[in-house]
Amino acid sequence: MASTCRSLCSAGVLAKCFSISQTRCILDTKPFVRVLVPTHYQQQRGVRKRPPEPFARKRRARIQDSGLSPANESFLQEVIANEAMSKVEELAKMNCPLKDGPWARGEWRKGTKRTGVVGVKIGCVPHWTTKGKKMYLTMLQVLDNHVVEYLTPDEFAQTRFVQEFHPKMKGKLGAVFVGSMGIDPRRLSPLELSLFEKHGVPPKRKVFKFVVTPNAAIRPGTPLFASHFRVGDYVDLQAKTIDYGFQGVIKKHGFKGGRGHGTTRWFRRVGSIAPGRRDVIPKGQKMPGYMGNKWRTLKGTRIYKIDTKYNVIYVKASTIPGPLHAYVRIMDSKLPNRVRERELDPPPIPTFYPQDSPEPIPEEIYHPDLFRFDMESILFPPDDPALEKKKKSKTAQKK
Amino acid sequence: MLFNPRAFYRSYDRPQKGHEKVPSWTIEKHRDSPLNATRVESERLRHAAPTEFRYIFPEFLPHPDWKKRDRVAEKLQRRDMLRRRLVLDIPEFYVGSILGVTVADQHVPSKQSRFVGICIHRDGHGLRANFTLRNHIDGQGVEIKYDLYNPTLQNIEVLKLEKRLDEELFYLRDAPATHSTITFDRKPETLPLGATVPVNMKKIPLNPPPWTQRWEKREDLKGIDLPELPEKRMRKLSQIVKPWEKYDLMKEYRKNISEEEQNEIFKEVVQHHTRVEKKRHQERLKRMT
Repeated sequence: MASTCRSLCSAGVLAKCFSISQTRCILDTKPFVRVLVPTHYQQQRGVRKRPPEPFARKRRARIQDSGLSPANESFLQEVIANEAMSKVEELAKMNCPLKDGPWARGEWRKGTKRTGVVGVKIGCVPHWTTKGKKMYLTMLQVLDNHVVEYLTPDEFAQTRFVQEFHPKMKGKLGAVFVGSMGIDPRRLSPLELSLFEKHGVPPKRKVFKFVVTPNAAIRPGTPLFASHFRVGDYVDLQAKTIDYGFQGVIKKHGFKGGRGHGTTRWFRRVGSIAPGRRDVIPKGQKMPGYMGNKWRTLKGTRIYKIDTKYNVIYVKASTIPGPLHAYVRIMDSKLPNRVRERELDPPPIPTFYPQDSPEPIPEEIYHPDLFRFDMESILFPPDDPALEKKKKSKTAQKK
Repeated sequence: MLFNPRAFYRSYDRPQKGHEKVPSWTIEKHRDSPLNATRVESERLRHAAPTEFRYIFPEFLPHPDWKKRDRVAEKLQRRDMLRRRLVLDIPEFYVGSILGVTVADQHVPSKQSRFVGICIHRDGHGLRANFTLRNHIDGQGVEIKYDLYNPTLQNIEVLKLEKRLDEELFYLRDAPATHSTITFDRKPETLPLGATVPVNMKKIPLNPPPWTQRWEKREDLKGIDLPELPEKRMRKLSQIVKPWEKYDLMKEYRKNISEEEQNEIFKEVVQHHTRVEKKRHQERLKRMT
């Protein structure tokens, strides 16, 4: 029985059809072969490889494969959690003005750039203004942010980023690296762990870089919260767009395509790609290709509400790039009018320290134009009789 | 194990491989994990919620698709919804009930307008909850869709509380006008205390086709009286009909939220209820003195 099974369908043949890791062919004494065909198998066409990010993670072996007994595993998890929490407490003490304290705070000057914050897109909700107009606010949660590293302008100038791509930044701008969301240190390589241990920051899942002026330098280990921004501020939101994969020209570029019926084999095609008899296809000709998974910025969105308990920022935008739970880089807006407004009313630099405010910080901070759901229902005021009389007299004159 | 659930469900995230986002199962795990420095302790609520709450407050239940869910977003929305419910009394109503809605309207001299109609649809989760009222006025069918938590809503009055055989009554658009006509000065009818919501077993006869939708294809709609249709049209039905769907347990499971989760959500509503009762009691005392 077993020999006939093997001759009918060998694992080698199957391995040639599908990639070996995705198929498991079980040959046993039973008279049929059970084969797991991967139903999700699809050719993966990826984006061109770009240079890796400075903190690109290479995952170690999965923790489940560590071979520890459940009791030892739970003990290790406790130890890791306690270590992480003790680090956070240490850092909180460091940033207390009583002992050692945060670095000397810079003065706001013209052209100051301060650090941003790493948020996660949670969802989009409808809200109303006090005048009854509906708008959609997106919620961005600032989860567990800590400053991981600060590079002075001279240190930053030595990196490839400045030398090759932005030589004008040399000596003028430093870099703040902000990490979001803790991660089990066993998932990181020793090199990556050393980067976090340099300043005693618990290891982070995701790290982003923000370019800052030296007067907005932050001490590594400082926690960043949603209150880094104020209600009424304008922010730029940067995130990676939804990855649609390899897409045709209709979805990717909005081409009209052909008719569904009555045409001869022309439904979703590109059509003409070059004019006349010349053999030259113009550069930038729209064709099918990889769509999405690109960094895009949404500029000049306004903050209407901040929840300090859950660290959620409500921003007036419904078209933030990325799917749900995408990382979003939140920064002060670079739009010229917003920069000018900021000069007149500068935000706290380098960041908002909780010990700064004399009163306890309210749990929810609203913009005065935003309708709070504990307010009375909106009523429109009756018409002003004087205005009505004026309008009537005008129309009478016209007649 | 032959079947690895983690690898299987990871295929849902496959197009986003290497994407700049947190996997949905990870973000929840992180929020509750001891590694989260900004962890918010969840309040353990004692009171159990009655089972009818899922029908009275359907907008409190989140979207059944787990890819569109976030617990913190839902919690913040529920908080706002309950605050609004303290100000405006949003009554219990179903598709098929007759409602009268007063709305603040700046384009009218009195600055308020009232519309009465039969509820044909109820949709939306959280603050996006909405309902549609239909009426037939001066020979013209009118439908108005209202946001339940819109602050310009002044008053929602249930003139007749009842259910129909279906969860949506869009077929009234293809029915004679008499079935959608409700007079504006209709008096409210109250049910006796503790009575169950009556189900109106009316079967609506439809106008002769053409219709806005092919109602003969909708085998889930029980409240229609289909007229005689040409044989050619009825022949196609046998190809479309899916008789196995009523046995699909996994489909039913995926459409609904688990009971344990529903209980956790409605415990907050129970708290709100006690608060509302307290507030109304205080107002009654004020009126008496």
